[in-house]
Amino acid sequence: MNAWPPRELLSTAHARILVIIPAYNEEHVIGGVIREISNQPVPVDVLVINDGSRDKTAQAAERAGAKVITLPTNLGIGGAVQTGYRFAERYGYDIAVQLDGDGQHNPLDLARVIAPVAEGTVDMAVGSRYVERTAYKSTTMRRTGMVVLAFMVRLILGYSVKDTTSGYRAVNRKVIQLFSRRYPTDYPEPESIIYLHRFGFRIKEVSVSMRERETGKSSITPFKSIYYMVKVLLSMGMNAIRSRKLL
Amino acid sequence: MSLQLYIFPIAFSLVFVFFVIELVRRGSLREQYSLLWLGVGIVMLIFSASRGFLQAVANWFGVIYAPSILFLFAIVAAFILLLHITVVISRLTDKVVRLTQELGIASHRIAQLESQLGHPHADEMETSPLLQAGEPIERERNYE
Repeated sequence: MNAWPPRELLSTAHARILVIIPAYNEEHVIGGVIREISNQPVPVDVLVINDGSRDKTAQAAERAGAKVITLPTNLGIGGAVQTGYRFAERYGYDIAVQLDGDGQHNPLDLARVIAPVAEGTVDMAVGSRYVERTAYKSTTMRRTGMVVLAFMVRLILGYSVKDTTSGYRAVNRKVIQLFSRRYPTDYPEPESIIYLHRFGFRIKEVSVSMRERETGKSSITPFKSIYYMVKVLLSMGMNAIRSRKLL
Repeated sequence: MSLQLYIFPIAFSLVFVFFVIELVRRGSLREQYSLLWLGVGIVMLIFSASRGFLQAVANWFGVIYAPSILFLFAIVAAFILLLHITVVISRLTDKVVRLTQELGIASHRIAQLESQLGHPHADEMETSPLLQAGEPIERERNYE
């Protein structure tokens, strides 16, 4: 197998890895998340994208030792995350990892999420709640939505990615370059899977343990969930039928 | 037909055309978009000045009540225009997102360079100076 980058890079820390954390009003948890990342074994740089927060997210993140980019207005998750990919592209990172700032992604899983990308077996690894039985619980409505999205992804990809909405994912340099050119907006996670597939990139799920989020709640409220499904399915469909030169 | 009914639409159309020209002159409307509105104004002017023209168009389409064809045209034109505007907004949104991202990255770089240079206030600044300089934008908004 043509390994990219070679496995030994990980242990010798020659692969430059950037952890991108989009954060909106997370001043109480962001510091803890960053410290947990510094305490886990894989050497990484941490970049917090402070997406126009109205609290002291930026200061809390800086105090915990992260690089912080503050966006003057709130761009939403897609625009914030893309800022991180553009940063990774510009500063020559080999691998970028995306991780939520609300504490529901366990930094101890970083090595597991990064491994398949570092070994070069896949272009994107998605940290999933469903690959193995983990302690994750969910509502019926939410699960139904997940099943529909997973079905769509399976239909288009030909293989399954169960946790399509997971925002815990690692990508290699080629994907970093693609994402910094164009990245889906609004609810980007399921759409970006189809998007990458259209470019022939390989995607793999690895099992991670999700925790209850420490503060805040899901950005998807019941009222928005219908809009969410319609919008995401439309975007996914559009990515599937769009000609390559428009992607 | 009364004289008022004849004069009022013409006057309205003329005022509209001059209003569009004035907007362009003041720089509130871009030339590229003004062409569309000038076109609308001129069509309005033609229809107000010549009653026979509207009748001829209606006859050609086989419409019995001539003014109804005006409504049809107006509604179709409005739909097309709205669609065009949402396309423009989408394009603008993409540009604003890109600019915001670049501004964030550039500000981070400036703060980094300043702290390397030992900028006297580097430690005191909560966010980078670029992001605090919101004033010129406000001033421009109140300019008129």
